[in-house]
Amino acid sequence: MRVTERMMMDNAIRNMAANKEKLHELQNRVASGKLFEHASDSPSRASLSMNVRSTLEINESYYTTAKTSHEWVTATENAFGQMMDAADKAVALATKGINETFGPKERQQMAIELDGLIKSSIEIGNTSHMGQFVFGGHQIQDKPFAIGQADVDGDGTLEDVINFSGDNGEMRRDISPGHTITINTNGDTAFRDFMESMIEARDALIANDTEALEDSLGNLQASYDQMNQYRATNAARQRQLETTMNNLEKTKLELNAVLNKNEDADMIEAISLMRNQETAFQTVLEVGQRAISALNLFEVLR
Amino acid sequence: MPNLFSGINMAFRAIMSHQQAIETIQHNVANVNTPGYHRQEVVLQASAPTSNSYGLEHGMGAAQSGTGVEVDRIRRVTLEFFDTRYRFETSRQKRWDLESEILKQVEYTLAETSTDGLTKKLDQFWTGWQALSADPSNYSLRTNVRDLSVALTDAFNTRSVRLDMLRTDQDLTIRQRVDEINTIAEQLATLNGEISRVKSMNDQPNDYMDQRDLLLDRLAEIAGARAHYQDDGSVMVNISGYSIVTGNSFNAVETVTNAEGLLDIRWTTDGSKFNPADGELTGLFEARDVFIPQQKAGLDLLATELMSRINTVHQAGFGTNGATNVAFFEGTNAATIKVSSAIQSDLANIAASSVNGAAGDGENARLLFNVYQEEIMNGGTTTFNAYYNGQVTNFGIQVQRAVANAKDRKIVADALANQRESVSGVSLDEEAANLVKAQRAYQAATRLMNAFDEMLDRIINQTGMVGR
Repeated sequence: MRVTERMMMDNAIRNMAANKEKLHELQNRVASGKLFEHASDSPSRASLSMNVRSTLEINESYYTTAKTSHEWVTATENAFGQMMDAADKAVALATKGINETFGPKERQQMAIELDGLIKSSIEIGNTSHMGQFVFGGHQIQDKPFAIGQADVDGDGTLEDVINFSGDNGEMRRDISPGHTITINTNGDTAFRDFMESMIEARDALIANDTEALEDSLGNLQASYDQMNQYRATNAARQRQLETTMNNLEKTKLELNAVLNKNEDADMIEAISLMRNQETAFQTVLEVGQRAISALNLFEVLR
Repeated sequence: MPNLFSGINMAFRAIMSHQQAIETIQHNVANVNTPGYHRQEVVLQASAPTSNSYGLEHGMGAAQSGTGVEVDRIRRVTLEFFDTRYRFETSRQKRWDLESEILKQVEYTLAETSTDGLTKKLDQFWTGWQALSADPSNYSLRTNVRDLSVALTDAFNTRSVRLDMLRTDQDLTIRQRVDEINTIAEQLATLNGEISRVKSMNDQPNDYMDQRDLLLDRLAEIAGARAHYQDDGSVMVNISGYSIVTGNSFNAVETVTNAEGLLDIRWTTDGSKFNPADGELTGLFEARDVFIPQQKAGLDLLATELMSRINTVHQAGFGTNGATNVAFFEGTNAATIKVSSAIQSDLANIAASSVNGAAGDGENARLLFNVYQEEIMNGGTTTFNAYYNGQVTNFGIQVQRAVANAKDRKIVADALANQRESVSGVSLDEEAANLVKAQRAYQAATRLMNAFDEMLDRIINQTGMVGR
């Protein structure tokens, strides 16, 4: 093919430009450590990266929710612990009171002790975590439990009643995609029976009525078992939340690994490619220089 | 019968012809770097022989003697086929060049990088709701939700505005190209006139034709113009079948503002729409009127669907002040989406609860968080995040395709340019060899002239001097 000076020049320039472009791309890769910068550089990788990043962000959020839920459930568990201690003492008192060896004066003493336990249990029912009341359902800003006076049996005299001002709202939390749990325990259903049995027992002790006391003891034991059940449910939630948090941590590590694999340039490979390209560019420059400064016949002829 | 004076004439003609050859070589060498220059070569031919054989020689085989050399014409070395192919390929290449440039700009303005972008703002929006659902009476979490929502709507607004700006920015390029087309068309018409005039006198308008080829190349790059060579040497140029240059008249184009406030191009003569066949303008119009609006439409759809769904769920809930049926977002599309004024003015209006008067109820916020999993886009098959992911990725593929096309077309165009250059370009070595040829011939001719001169001198001055 007939070759002209312009062709040689143009080709030399074209090759230099192409090599320079490749060199530029590799330098960028080494400097940024990333395989691609925009979606157009590698659409499939970009798509995966966006997905993984979104998942990581949402998973962080699930983790935080699981953690705060765990704290709430732990506070509930602590409260249950205290309540069961009080229950133990109440049952012991009632059992003691049934014993025939005690007289009315001793029973009065026991009644006062039991009254103290009643007030304690009200306090425990009003446990708060981070300034929010734990056992009141959705009514977290006001104390749920209080002792009031009302005429329950219509005999003209006022008795003590337990007033519960919370509601039965369920606090539902998402701890992983598609997995929702309730974290709160309703104080009314858990503690009312117990508290009322204690009031019964106290009144029976004051009245020195062993029969009524036996009934109250039965109620106390029944409500004791019931509270234990609620406690067990709460403990199960605690374990579930711990497992979830562990899983979320593991998922985070795996996802980060996927992200790195997808996005990061293999530095060793990138640097060696860049070195090669630099050498190639040098060679192209040399050859280009020869093409541009080639002799022609004019200089050789006389 | 030859005579001495015809001999001098022959030598003279040889000198002149070879001088012309040397001048042409000089012209070639001077223009070795001129873009669009086609090398010229002198075509020598033996001049018409004489048939005058009188008397003695008649019928004896002495006749038809040669009369020397003359320049037939100065030939311009070109192959029209290569020109046509070259123009076809460069118009394709320029189209993808400009289109990929504009599309890359769009990608930069959409700014979807690993550390920032609309996706990230959307993700943070969802997490803001989940945080609020765990502690709905916490005012700083409400502030957080509002701030994240404002960041999200801002992201929508700026992207929409930037896309519009990219469309109006193309107006400048359109104006420039229209001016260029008109100038080229006028010049082509003038050149056509000159070339036909020169050709009608049987001369070769070589340099005019070089100029005209350059202009035709540029017109092909801008609008994919096709040229048809006519017998009288002029060229008929049309763009998508509509004639722009015929003989020495041309049709101009002008810009006109269309319904969207952007520039379009139309023919001045009858106002019909100007459709570029290929070339930069095709790329520009496709990017501006097809791809950018697609992106904007996707953004608008995402904004309106998101607003609609979030508002529906939000309006069913209750704020801490008992307010219900409050819209969270207001606006009509991606450019106008905003957090509603009710929310901006009073954070208590954020409906985190599903029932009224329950300070610890964050159920509605939990439902709002879970909208991220709902498949609402694409006829109920895709989540919001997946939809936007698809938009960005598909656009990335389009940009990639445009860049790849530009590269491929360039390779083909470069190969054709090489072929053209190979045929019509100036090779200095060739010219040097030709120069030697012509120079030697010139020298030989002058030698002959001397010989005839001496002979004449002998005849004129030295004959009949016997016995003087």
